[in-house]
Amino acid sequence: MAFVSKRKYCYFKENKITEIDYKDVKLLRRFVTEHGKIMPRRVTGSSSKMHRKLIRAIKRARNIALMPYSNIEGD
Amino acid sequence: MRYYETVYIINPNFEQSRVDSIIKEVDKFIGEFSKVFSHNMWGKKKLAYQIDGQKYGTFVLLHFESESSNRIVDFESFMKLNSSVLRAQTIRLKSKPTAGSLQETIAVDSDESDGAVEKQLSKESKNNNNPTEEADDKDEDVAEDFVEEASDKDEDVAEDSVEEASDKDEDVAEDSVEEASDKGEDVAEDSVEEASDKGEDVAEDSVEEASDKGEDVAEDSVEVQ
Repeated sequence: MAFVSKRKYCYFKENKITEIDYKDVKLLRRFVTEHGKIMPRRVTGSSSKMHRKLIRAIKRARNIALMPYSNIEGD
Repeated sequence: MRYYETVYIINPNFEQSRVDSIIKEVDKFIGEFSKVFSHNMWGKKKLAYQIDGQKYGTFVLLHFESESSNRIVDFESFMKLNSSVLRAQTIRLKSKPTAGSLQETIAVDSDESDGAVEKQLSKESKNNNNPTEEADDKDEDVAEDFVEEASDKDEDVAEDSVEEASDKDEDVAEDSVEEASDKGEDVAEDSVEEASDKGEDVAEDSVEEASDKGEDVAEDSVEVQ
C-alpha cells in the first residue's frame, strides 16, 4: 500500500512506566506541542489509561508553573 | 493514613535566612496535625509563566502524611494567605513517599535544568549535535528541519552568490572586452579617419594649390596674352 506509516505504540507501555510524576517536566514536554498544548492520543499513540494520567500530570505541572499553559512565541 | 505532597514557590528575591524562616513557619503549621517525612529545598527554578511579576521562584518540596482531610483544607488556605508564597499545590499520593524517590526527583530535575541550559546553548549556537540529551522525537524532527532549512538556505545563498558573481564577472568581462574593442576600433577608426582626413586634406590642399597655381598661372598667361 501507498500509506505505510510508522507503527505507533504507547510510550509508557513500551518503557514500562506505570505512574507519571508531574515534576518530571522532561518527560511531559514530549507530549505537548511547542505552544504548550497537550498532544492528542492519535498523535502520541498513548493508551487511554496512560493518556488520562498524562493529562493529569501536565495540568498539575501547569498549575505549579513548571509547564506553560500557553506559549504563543513557541519556546 | 493518607500521604500528601506539597510543592510551593517562595518569592525568589528573599535571602536564605528569610526562606528558612518561611519553611520553619510552614513546618510548624503542618506539624500540628501531621507527620512530616521530608521538607526540602528544590532550588531556584525558572517559572513557565510569570506569577506576580516574578520570572523565577524558589521551589520547596514537602512530603507528609495526615488523617484529617479538613486540616489539609486549612493548610491550603494558610498557604494561599501567606503572601511570601507565590503558589502552592498539594497532591495526594497513592503510596508512601520514600527518601530515594525524592532524591531521584531532585536529581532528575537538576539534570533537566542543565539540559534546558544546554538546549538553549545549542539553539543559540545552532549546533544540533546533542546526542546525550535528546531522545525526543519531536525535538529531533525540529532539529532536522532546522538543519535542512539552514542547509537549504545556505545552498540557495551560495548558489545565488555564485551565480551573481559569475554573472557579474561575465558582464564585466564582456563589458571590458566590448569597451576595449570599441576603444580599439574607435582609436583605429579615428586614426584612420584622421590619417585619411589629413591625407585627403593634404592632397586636396595640394591639388587645390596646384590647380590654383595652375589657374593663376593660366589666368596670368591669359591676361598677358
